[in-house]
Amino acid sequence: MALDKPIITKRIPTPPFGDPADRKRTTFAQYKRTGGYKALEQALGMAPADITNVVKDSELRGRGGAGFSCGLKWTFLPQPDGDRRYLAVNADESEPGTFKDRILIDFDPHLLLEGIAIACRATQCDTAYIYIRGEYHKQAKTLLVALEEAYANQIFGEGSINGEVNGRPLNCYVHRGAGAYICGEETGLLESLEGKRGWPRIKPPFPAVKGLFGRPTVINNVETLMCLPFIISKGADAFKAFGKASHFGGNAPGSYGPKLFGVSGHVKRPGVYEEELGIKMSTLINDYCGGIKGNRKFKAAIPGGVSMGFLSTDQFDAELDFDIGRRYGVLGLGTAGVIVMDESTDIVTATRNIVRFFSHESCGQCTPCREGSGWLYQMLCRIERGDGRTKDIDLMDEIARSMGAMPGTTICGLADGTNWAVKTAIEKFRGDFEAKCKPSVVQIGVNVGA
Amino acid sequence: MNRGVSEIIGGATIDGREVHLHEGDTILTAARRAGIHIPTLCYSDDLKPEGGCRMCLVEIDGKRRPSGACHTPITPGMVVHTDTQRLTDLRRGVLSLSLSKHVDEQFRPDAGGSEFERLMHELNVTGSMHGNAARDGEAIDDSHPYLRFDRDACITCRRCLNACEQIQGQFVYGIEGRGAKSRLIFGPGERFADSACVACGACVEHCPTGAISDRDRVASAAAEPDRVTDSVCGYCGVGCRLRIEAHDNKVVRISAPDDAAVNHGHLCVKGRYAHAYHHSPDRLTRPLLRDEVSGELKPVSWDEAIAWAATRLAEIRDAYGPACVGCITSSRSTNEAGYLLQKLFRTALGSNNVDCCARICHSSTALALQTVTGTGAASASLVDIERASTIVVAGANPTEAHPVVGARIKEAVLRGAKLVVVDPRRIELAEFADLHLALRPGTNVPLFNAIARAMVDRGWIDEQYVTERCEGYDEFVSFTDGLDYDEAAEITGVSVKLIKAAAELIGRSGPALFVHGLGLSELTQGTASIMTLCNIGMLTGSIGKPGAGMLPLRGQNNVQGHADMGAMPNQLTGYQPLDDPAVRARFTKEWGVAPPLEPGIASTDMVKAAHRGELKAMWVQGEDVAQSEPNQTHTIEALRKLELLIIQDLYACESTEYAHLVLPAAGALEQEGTFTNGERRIQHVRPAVDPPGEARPDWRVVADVAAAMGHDWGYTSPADVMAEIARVAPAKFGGVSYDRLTPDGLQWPCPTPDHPGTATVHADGFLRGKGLLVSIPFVPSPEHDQNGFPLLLITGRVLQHYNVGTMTRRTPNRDLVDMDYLELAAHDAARFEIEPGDTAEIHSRWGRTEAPVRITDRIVPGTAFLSFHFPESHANCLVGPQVDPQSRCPEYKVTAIRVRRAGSESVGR
Repeated sequence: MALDKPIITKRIPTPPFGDPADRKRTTFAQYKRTGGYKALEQALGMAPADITNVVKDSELRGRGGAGFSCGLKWTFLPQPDGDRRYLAVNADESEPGTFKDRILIDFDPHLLLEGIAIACRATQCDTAYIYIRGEYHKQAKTLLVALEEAYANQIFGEGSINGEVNGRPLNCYVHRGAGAYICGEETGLLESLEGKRGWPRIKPPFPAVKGLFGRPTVINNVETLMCLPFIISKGADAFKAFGKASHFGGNAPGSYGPKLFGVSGHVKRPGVYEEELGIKMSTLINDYCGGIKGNRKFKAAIPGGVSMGFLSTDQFDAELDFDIGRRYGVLGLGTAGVIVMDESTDIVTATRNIVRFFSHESCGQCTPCREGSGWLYQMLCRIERGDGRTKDIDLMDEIARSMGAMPGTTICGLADGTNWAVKTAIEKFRGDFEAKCKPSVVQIGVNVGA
Repeated sequence: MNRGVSEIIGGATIDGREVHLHEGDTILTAARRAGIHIPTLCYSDDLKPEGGCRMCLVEIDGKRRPSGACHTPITPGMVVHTDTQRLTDLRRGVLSLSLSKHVDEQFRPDAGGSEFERLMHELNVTGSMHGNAARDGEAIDDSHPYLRFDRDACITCRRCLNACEQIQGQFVYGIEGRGAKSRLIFGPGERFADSACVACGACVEHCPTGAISDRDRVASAAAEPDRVTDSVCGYCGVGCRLRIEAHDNKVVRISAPDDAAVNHGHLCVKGRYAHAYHHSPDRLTRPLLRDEVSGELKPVSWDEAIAWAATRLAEIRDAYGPACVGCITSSRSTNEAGYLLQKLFRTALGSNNVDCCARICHSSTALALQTVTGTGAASASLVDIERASTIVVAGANPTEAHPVVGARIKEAVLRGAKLVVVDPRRIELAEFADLHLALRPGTNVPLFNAIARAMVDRGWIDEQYVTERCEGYDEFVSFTDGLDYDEAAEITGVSVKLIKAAAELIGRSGPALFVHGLGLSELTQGTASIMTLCNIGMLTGSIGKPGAGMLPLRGQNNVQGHADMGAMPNQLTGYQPLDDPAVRARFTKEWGVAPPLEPGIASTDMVKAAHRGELKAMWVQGEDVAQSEPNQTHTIEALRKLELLIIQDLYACESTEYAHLVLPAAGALEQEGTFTNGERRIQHVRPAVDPPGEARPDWRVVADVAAAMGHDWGYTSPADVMAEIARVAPAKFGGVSYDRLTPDGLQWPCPTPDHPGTATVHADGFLRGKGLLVSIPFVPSPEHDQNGFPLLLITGRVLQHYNVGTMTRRTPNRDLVDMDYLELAAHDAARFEIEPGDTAEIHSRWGRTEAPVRITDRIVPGTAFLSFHFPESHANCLVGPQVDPQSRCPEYKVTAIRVRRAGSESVGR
């Protein structure tokens, strides 16, 4: 069933339920008046394990891109030992085409703070850091204002309604990033929070065991945390009323709950829309975004941030849920930041642009990504210029596959993202590439092992 | 770091083979133990896994993604494949990508080339799949005298960076830029020479491509070593093991064996690089005798020199008596040389006037430790640095003077050990410390007493230890009860708060390791400083425990050894009393002559006696007394008055100006013998090259002179001498013989041939019976509060140089630091109207000199620092004649001075 009223965007006027022109920051008083912090009060009456169980029952999956079960992630933390435990809130929303967390923070920051307090209660974390993208300076200020209100109203700090956790008052801080995409990777984020260069860590140890400053740490996305008040106050079943079970049946995790979709590109009304998981992309584009710009034809889309790869022209009706990767040959749903491309789009240029981003943002730690992403970018520039050969396409595909299709050759997933973009572009739009290449007369310099 | 043996905790399968697993194994460590090769590039055994090169990827059954073998823990039952076609393709692809940024033919597959080239050979990769970069003419940075960086050969694997951080604790390197634009940088500067590099060479040892290399090795690349020798470093008292490669009788390369107990494959700028002094063109190669007519030193034959020395020594003894001859043995020479010179003076000349340069460095330490614990040496060992939970560094600057120990302390702190630094200067370790007590020079005694009082007051002491193992506690408590914190703070310049914080940190975190140096001993209250530090060591129950105790850092390679050998006027070999009948009987039997009963005089007193005309002849082995003794003007006058001055040295130096006979000596890398480091470790020294010309090892020369005086000892090698040492001092050295010294030597006490040596002394109770708590009040130095001399000067070492610089000044270290600087606080510089770059005129009550000024925030106002490596600075002209009344150690660490800009009339305000 389609959403009949907004859930996460309850206080953020969004079509079809409201007019974006009416949006403004929800103050503490307004938030409280409209039922805010009720769920927290409810959670504070529950045992931490019970909160975790409710969240597990809701089958809430992470909204940051990987779609991992939120409740299950919480259970990976060891028993509290009296020393510090951290919640790191990933607000480093940096992937091209993704802007849902920004709007959530802009207009309903207390929903995030309430989610944080509930998560801390469930995981017995005493300190929360909101790691926010450096470019979100306005949103960082908004959070600071909201935090000040929250502290003044005993949500955080000495004498708050949370009492003491691990013998300490519950505290929440805002930490601004400095402009590196890699700091959105959860362990890169932790390194950056510690004041180091934001390089992803080798795992194990996993953050749940040894995270920030070597202590147990939970890392959750902004939107994920913002689902918690609804789940706690209305129950797991109310959340599961939205979305659906997995198409693959059995024990495969389903796609439940409302979700924010940030649509950009060649549509008439780009923006953030809330719908249940599993909505068809065609519905989202036609019904919410007013259709393709200039009434041109749909050519391609990226389901959720540029690292997910391309949906082809005949995948216009793809269902936007966590099964999208296996069903439609992309990496996954990602952040559900849908980028729509019409028939005028040159896929070679689009791919070159995506790879430029990834080679620029590669942290430089692992050889395949550091050297490979730069190499792919140069190759794409060459093809775009018209200097490529058809053999280059195969070579590029081979590199993309050995870096990505045999996934996990690198410490983090950034290289996978680069390669899914290249690999799906070549697979689904090979004609666009071939049209720009000269036929290969001689093989281009693969002298590996010659 | 996978040293040591651990239990087998299960098995796994790698490439179809069953392998045993040990606690903490990764796939790589388990595979390597089983002899299964997995290619690596950024991995090194002694560093934490970096995991960036992705060369060691392996496949694990049941896992979709390949895993890095170097960082993935292996679990029982795991099935691993290391050699599939997919992995080979992947590795070759990654290697090709690494090559894509490099110029063509920068690397060639080569089974005997660099690690990177060997990997190319192994994976059959000849070049990059994606073109090559153009060589950048600016890419080679050879601004540093020892290190060379070739940017074109750098693959940013970061092994250098990790080695720098994890072995040296230095953090020189960084990565600038992201992705394919990542590049290695050395701090904010563009040139290597401007970086914080201390030239320890750890990065060179780890670089897989040769991007960072040794300049001397590049220059001598063609020279295949024809002689490889394991020996011991001839610089400081840490005693690092060396592997020396020589070609055509020249040292071409020095590295460190990875298994060396003292240095674990690590070295410093001196030990690794500063060896060129051996081949300096001004080495003495023939004996030189002063011509009576011309007054010039003229070359003579060894036979003539030895006969002349024997005759003159006998003549002077006969004319003036044995009290008028004396010798100073060389702490840079071998134990055997020192033992024989004291034997010569005690037997052939009948004089106990034997001493060594320990007198002017750690004599206070030895005396203090002997008095309160029962033995005058370290109770702890260097390995205790890694075991310690709390380290106190007092009056020592290890990162400069004992760099390998400094690095080990930094690593211990980075791993979580607590550190307290007691030093007037904000030395590098102070930056790593939990607490830094920047005391006024020469006020250790009131500081340590106040800390002890706070410990007693608050009960931060190990009562059981004190009750069972110590004596003098009640008197000590009544003594500390009478102390006043505010007064201590006033005298020392350390706040009461900081004093109490130090007491709490040291007292509450269990036994502590006390690393101390000359900043405690070279004072008029030197012996008292160390004894009062020992009070803290006993109150906290530290002495005799693993990971704790007293660890004095000895200044020179063998200063411990020469004191051990009996180069002391009041004790025989092995710290045995002169007047003990049983001891005397043992020596008489072995020597054929009874040692003289009357104690001799200390080296500082020999100089004074010579000045008074009472001492007529001196034999100085490898020490430039004219530059190293305090009160330089007075020392030179004394040397001029001698009727006979014999000097054994590598070079003509300040002192040879006044010598009658100069004997060319063999350097540290040119002779056989033993050195004993600061943790009592006797290690085997072997010749890596031959001495130049006719230069001879010291021990041989001494034995020859003895023979010429009718005492033919009949040794055929240094091993014979060591056998005798073991016989005359069985309690300490009875079990020491050359065949037991490979690879890492023996730590004395080692009384019997089956004794393993002793890492922790006093483990089963103090050697003197009970540890002695002493109640010593503060007595100001005569240099304190001198009217008209408002600053207190400390003298000391810098990293790049060593003592009076005779060795390091003859190496490219001179390109790193080429003069001594006077360090002044900005406040004092302003007060005396001195600006950066100015030369200061420095006056003490004893002399004057000039030195360029460096203004630094590392020193507190009221204190100044001057190194003493260059003769031009005449640092020891400033130092006065006062000595510790007990140990006779000079006060190098406190001198009242005034400064002004050279040539100015300013007298300061």
